Amino acid sequence: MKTIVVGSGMAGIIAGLRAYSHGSDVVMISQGRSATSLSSGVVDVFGYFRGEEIKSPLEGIKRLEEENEVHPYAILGAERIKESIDFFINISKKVGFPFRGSIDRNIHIATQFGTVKSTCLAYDRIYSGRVERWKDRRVDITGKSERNFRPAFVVESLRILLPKLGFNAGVFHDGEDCDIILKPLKQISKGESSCALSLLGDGSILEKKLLEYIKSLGIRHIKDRILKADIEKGEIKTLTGKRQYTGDNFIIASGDYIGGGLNSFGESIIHLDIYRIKDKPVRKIPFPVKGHPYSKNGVIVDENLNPFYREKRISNLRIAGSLLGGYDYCTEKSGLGVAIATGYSAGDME
Amino acid sequence: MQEVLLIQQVNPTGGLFVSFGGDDEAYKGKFQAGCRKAGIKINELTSEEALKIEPNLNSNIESAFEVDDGVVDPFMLTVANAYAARENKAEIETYSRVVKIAGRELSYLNDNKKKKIKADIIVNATGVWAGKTAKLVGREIKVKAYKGTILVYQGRAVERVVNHLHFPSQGDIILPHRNTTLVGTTNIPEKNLERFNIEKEEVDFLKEEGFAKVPLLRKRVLLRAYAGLRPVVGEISTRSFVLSDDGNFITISGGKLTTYRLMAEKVGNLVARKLGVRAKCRTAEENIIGDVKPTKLKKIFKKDYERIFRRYGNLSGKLSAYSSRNKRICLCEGVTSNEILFASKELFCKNLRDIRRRTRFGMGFCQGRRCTFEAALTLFSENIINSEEAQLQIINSLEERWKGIVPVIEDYMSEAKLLEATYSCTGNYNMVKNIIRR
Repeated sequence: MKTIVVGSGMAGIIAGLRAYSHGSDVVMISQGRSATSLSSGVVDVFGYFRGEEIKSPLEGIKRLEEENEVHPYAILGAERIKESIDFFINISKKVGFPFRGSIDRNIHIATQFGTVKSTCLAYDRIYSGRVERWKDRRVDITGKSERNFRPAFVVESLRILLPKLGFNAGVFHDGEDCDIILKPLKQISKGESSCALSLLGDGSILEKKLLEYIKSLGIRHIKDRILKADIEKGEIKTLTGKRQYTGDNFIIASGDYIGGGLNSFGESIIHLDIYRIKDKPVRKIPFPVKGHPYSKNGVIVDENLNPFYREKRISNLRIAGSLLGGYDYCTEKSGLGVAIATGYSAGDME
Repeated sequence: MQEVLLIQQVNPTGGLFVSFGGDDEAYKGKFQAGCRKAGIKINELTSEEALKIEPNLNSNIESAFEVDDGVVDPFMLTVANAYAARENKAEIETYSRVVKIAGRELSYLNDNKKKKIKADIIVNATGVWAGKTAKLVGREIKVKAYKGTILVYQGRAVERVVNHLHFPSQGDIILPHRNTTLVGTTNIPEKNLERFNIEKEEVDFLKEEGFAKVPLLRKRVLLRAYAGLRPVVGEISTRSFVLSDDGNFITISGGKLTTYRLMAEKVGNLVARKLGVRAKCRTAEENIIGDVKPTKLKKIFKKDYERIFRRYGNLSGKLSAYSSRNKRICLCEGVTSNEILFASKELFCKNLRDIRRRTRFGMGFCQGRRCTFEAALTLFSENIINSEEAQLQIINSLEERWKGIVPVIEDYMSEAKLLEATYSCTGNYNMVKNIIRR
């Protein structure tokens, strides 16, 4: 059983590891940068539904299923998603970068922008720095200033914002008599007991550890850009980049506009059928509460994550990650959650 | 022509008029005759010569003429004039809308506060709003607004101003501007002075006109489109200007950028006459900002000298006083923290958008994604703004960038998505912004 995975962001990585766990011979092919590596590395599973905060991802998933939404979570169902999260948490422990959290509840973390966001799983130190723990405690945010990060700014911004969000916490910036100390993850040295604040780009730490783990398992990771696919009788025969790749199962997790899996013409390798908003796809402001319609653009799949080419199902191909249509990770805060859940399902063999 | 040459001192790139296969060959003769009549020097080139100096031109050249021409940065030109005015004791209040004029008393709104000022002479130089402003004194000034849209491509695809040698039409011009290439323009009557849109048809049209002259643009990143309104009095082709004298109320309307100095001279002379001042206008002879010593600046700015001098011209001397703990803020345009502070303190800035127009942070490939926050932090760290004000300005600044991205978003998808992912997904600004604004 040979599985070819295109894309080595979170979705591709989890898909590869899942297929490997089933005994498949896995080859991963990728190029460029992943959104994962640019992110702050916390795993958003499902934080906001239609512009409202939700207390648990499960609550959001249930509502999607009830409302018959065309969302990857509605396709997969709560059980499968939970399995995938457990799978990820186990792997995070194996690679020495343990994540904590549960699909039953969301947490809040402070960001370098002096804002707060709802997320689900985070690296141990980040998880222990969550805002829920700040109640009635003295919190210090400190560390060396770096690009787009000033401890003093985060402190002042949070001092104003937290009460407005209904949180009760004292946020200081002098390190004296503090119960909780938060520093940028990269600045915490071995033996230090600080909690971590994750910054943009810290996702690359997680991604790097996962890719090293993949390499240690003997899974080949080839740098190449796939330009076309040969399809015969509803199945992919070969993928062509600088070389040709054949296999039994194919998984494409090439990302959305950031990774290049999607461009303004559609899905970039095969021109798979996509779900696309044509009329007013862009809102006039950059960060609308409910997002841009175009964010839901992506490949249409059936319950097996098989896509279609001119309405014909491609049975040996599965799609995972942000290439999928029907959801908006920016406003839902569901990016790495969808990547993990769909990657896991795509890598699952019957 | 004299005026054009005066302004050219800002950046005389030279220009080309080029016709391509399929253009009306008869126009060439009309062009040559017209230039002769107006006393404009032109030099005919062979197509090989034209391609030698502008290799990115469409090689299908019919005829080409070299002309004197130049490029100016309208933001810096305006700021330099304001700076010079302030040096001469002018007080300048931006973001102030005049709402009432009663005799010699002028009422205006500044920061939502109503203020009053008394004036012996009021000069109405409000561009497309000249008519609306004149109504405040019961006078009728007819100004028509024509929208012009311009596309901004990353990188300089040409080194000169390139004009299409054919009957004057829309989409005739391609020019280098800093680290970008501008493709313009359209010319569409506009009724709504406060809110006007860039239509898809305009963008598509300009793209095609650009590709026809410089095919390389197909491979360049289209960063944004912007539009402005031209104030037109009389025939649009002449772009003439009119000086109206109404006792203590003077209106200067119409014109174009290249005649601004002449228009100002005429207004200045009229005002001087009315006030009994006999001094002569010197703007045709003197630089508005005094010269600076290059060697001294090179020592201070080192590798950054060229970029700084090209950007700030003779204002570089004033920037050199900001010399401590300089950090690179904008990775695309090279802007440093000292420039941000200089602009904020001395170049009439009320917010990040103003600072952007002076320094160019946020005008490069990432359109502010990587630097806007850092620029705000620079002001925060110097106690110029507090964190709440910083947040509001960051949001406001990125909203302005987005306005220019929307018309070209199909060509800018990857970066647009990354911008949204950074601020909405990682920063949660989509949810938090309304709470901050409360």
